[in-house]
Amino acid sequence: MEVVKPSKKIINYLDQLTGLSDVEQIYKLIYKELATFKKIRNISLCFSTAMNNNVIYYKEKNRVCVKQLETLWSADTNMRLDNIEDSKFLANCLKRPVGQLLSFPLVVNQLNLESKTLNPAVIYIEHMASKLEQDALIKDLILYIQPVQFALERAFLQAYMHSASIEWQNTFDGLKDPICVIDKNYNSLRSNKSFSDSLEKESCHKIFAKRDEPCRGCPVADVLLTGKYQTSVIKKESETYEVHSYPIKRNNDESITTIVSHYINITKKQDLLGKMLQSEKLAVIGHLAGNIAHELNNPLTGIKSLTEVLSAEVDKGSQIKDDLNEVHKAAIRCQNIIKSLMLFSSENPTANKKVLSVNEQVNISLTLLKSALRSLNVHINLTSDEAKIFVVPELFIQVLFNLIQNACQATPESGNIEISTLVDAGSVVFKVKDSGCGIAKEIMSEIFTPFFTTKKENQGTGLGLSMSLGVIESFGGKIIVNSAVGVGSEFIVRLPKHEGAES
Amino acid sequence: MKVLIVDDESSVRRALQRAFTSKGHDVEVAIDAIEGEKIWRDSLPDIVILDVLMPKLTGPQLLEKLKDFISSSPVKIILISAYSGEFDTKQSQSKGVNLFIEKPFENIFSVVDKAEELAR
Repeated sequence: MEVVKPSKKIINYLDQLTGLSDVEQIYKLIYKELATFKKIRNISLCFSTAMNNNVIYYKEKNRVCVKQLETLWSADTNMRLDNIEDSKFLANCLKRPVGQLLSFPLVVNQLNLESKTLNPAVIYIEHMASKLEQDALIKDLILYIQPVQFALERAFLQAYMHSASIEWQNTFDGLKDPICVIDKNYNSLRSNKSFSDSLEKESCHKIFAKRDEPCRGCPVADVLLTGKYQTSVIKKESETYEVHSYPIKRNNDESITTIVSHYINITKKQDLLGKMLQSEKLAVIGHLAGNIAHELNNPLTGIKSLTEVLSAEVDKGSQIKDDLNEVHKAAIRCQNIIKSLMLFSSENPTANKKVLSVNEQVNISLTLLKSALRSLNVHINLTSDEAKIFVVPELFIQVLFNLIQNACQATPESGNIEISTLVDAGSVVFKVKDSGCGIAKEIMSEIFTPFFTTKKENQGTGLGLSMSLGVIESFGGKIIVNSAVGVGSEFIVRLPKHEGAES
Repeated sequence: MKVLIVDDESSVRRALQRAFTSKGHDVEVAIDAIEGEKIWRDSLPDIVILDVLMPKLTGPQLLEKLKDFISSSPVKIILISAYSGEFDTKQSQSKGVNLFIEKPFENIFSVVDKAEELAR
């Protein structure tokens, strides 16, 4: 009976110990078990954590205390009896004298993590055993203390993994670009903050773009197909992302377990590229315009003039007269296109800038558009500030004409059009706002592209806005567009205010 | 009124010729400035309608060549061009140009009207 009892006790103890992975719990268990030993006064545990903290667990007034240590304990891995250094160290930690002392170092295998070797953990046992009783006490204690090494190892590893995981997540979250790890069915397994704030387990497209289907152009399908890294471009609302998707394979097995997608917002880069292409296009048109216009105008003069001659000779009301009228109208349309093209040409003879009153120019344009504005509610609100701009009058009027005419064409009968000018922080601003059909988001990036038009065949050449932008930019200004489908559009022209003398 | 039309674009020549003829004027046409010079010297027109940009010899070059001949005659000259950029008003006036009309014409008959007005 006497042999079975302690072993049963030990099995029970070991059973409890294997369930623990928290150092404090381990300390409490050791304390509970060893305190039943006679002659033991106190037990302390020194331990280096995975977070690089050196701590001591001790009991004071029946309470378990933990303290961070600034000085390190002995690195000696041998068991020690009444070692003076140990006693000094412990007395210093506990701020009280220490009696007879047994020091049990426990080498915690740290798997050489971060290539640092930490001090062995040490269990300090203060006792009152006599010299004769000591050997027996040590023999008993060793049975309890040796297994603690494995429990501490587990605790250390668990804490290390936890901290590594936190560190990894922090690194992940620190990245500005959205990153998401998904399984083969597009389900998000893990992601950084920039990808999603919440921890919802949803598909990547649902979380990122609020879509029920994978995003158009998503590279993941190709990754699954080829087993290799793929990249492509996707749209999320008005933003454009470059997506880099990498397959993750376990070991050297060929099958993919997860896919990491890295999203780079390239909206700004694309906008810039678009603008560059735009101005390049305008430059090319400008260059071509002068030459083409001349080449086209000559035969066009013949077509138009001969039509006029023939029309004068044909009886009114005859079918040929109507046909000739059509030819004539077509010729005039060509003439207008050529005229618009010529406005791009730097060789334009009218390219003489003048100091002008913006209000005067607006009034001139309004006179030109009288009939177009007749069926609409027009509100005009011009600045009382006699704001001057330095522009080529013909070109500027053409811009105002284009913008106001666009507003008229976009607005249904008895709709509203607001035309205003104002002076704002060194800029002269012209605004035209309509209650028309608005511009769809998808085509917003296209509206300044030469020959892009949504108008019916005879209503526009697709050159108005691109010409206007080119002209305003050449005067050092810009055009801003606000629009919502079904609500209306607002075009804002901003030009530098002319401050100098009139010239 | 005797009209000489010098233009390398046949459709323009034809249109002008038809328009002037329909109003009862005498019209001669030249397909370039070299032919134009010959007819000009031979038939002494009242009105010359002269294109600017032509191969071999341009309209203004022809005027330069005929400077003295022009200044000693009552001829009225209308310069026409599809490319206003190349037209220098003052320089042309000094060469005896009375009117510049841009192509395409506002209306072909308005060209006739203006020519008649000049010759009056």
